[in-house]
Amino acid sequence: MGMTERQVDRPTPEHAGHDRLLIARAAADDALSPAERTTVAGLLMSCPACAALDVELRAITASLATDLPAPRRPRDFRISPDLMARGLSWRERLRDVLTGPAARPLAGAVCGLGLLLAVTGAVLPRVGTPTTLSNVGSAVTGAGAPAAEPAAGGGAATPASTAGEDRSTTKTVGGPLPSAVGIEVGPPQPRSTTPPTSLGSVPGGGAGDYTAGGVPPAAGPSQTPGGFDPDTLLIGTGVVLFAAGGSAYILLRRRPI
Amino acid sequence: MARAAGGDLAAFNEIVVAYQDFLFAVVVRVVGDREAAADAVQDAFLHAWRNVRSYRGGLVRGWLARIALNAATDVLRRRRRRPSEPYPEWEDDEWQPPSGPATDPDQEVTRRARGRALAAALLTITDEQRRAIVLYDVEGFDYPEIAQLTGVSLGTVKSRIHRGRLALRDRLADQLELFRD
Repeated sequence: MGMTERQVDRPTPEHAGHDRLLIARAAADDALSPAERTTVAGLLMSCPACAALDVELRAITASLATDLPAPRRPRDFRISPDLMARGLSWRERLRDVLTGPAARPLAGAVCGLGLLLAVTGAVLPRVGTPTTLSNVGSAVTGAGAPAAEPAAGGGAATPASTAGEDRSTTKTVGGPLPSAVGIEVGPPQPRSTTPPTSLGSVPGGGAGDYTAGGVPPAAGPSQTPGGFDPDTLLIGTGVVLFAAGGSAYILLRRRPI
Repeated sequence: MARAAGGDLAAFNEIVVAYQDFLFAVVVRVVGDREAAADAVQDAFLHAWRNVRSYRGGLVRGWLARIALNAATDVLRRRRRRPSEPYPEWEDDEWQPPSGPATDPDQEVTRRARGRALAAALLTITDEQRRAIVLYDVEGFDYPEIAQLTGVSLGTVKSRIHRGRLALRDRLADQLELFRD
């Protein structure tokens, strides 16, 4: 060993400032730069504690390879049919999926699906929502606000009352018949936000029935009667799936099996 | 391996027999608990069997070691730093490899004492350092293999090994006479 107990146990005060990691790298024969080699050589020559550290690290490393006894396994690990037939708990199944070869593609697919949902929710916010029907219904009657008032007041708007209000401002085809309520042929009304030409996109009877039937209009510009915003729900779900799938995709790189 | 990939359990069990000692040695040194290590190794072999079709060639030893290390990581994650009895069987000389007839009894006693001291000290360093040191110094994997097995960079592997050795030296500070010739 070449070092005495006295030298090892009493390092010089300067030793505290020496680079122990550099000594450890040198003891492991790690690649050192010329400057690092010079520093190490100087430390080993001038500092007994650094020299002792070098020797001790080499001795411990050698001992790890030779003196650590091999632990004997407690049982045979061969897989029996019974072991295979053992039912997997949901945790084991989940772990197998998460650590299996399909985990990363699955995470990528979830991430992509999330992105798709988020983009869909952001780009196509109005297509197919009840808002469209509500607006069209107002345009068809030409009096969206008056038509909505009776319903908002608690009572269902009857075809007769709605038709009566409409007759005061618009001409209706076929007289005051309930079946003709709301089908306007006159010029656009000032309160209407959608031109009457939008009639072509909605069956006349259906639009008229919607208003005449007293169905209350949507509570907000893009909310369903249930009280939640489908666009926000779509975007939120997409963002959550995107974040979860992306995180899993990145983390699973660290555990390739 | 090809037969095992084709669903031949007997062929896979030949692989188990060939590698079970190695895998258990790696995992028990990383985990430090025999029962937990045995469960982890069994889980690793089961996982390997279920995913044997994902084997893409290369060394079977490395493929199995990677699966077993993942299982060991799960054990460590569950247990965290719960104290465990370090290699209790090492206290029993029956478990020791038989010494050769020419071995000096005093040297043998010292060697076993070094082994016990090292095993106890290994359990006191960080999980990452212990894993790197077991794979490099004990099992003989090289730096790139360890980097691939543990999913970290080459520099991180080296750093863990160097710092782990320094930590071991500090833990063994009062027993360093065992390591002096």
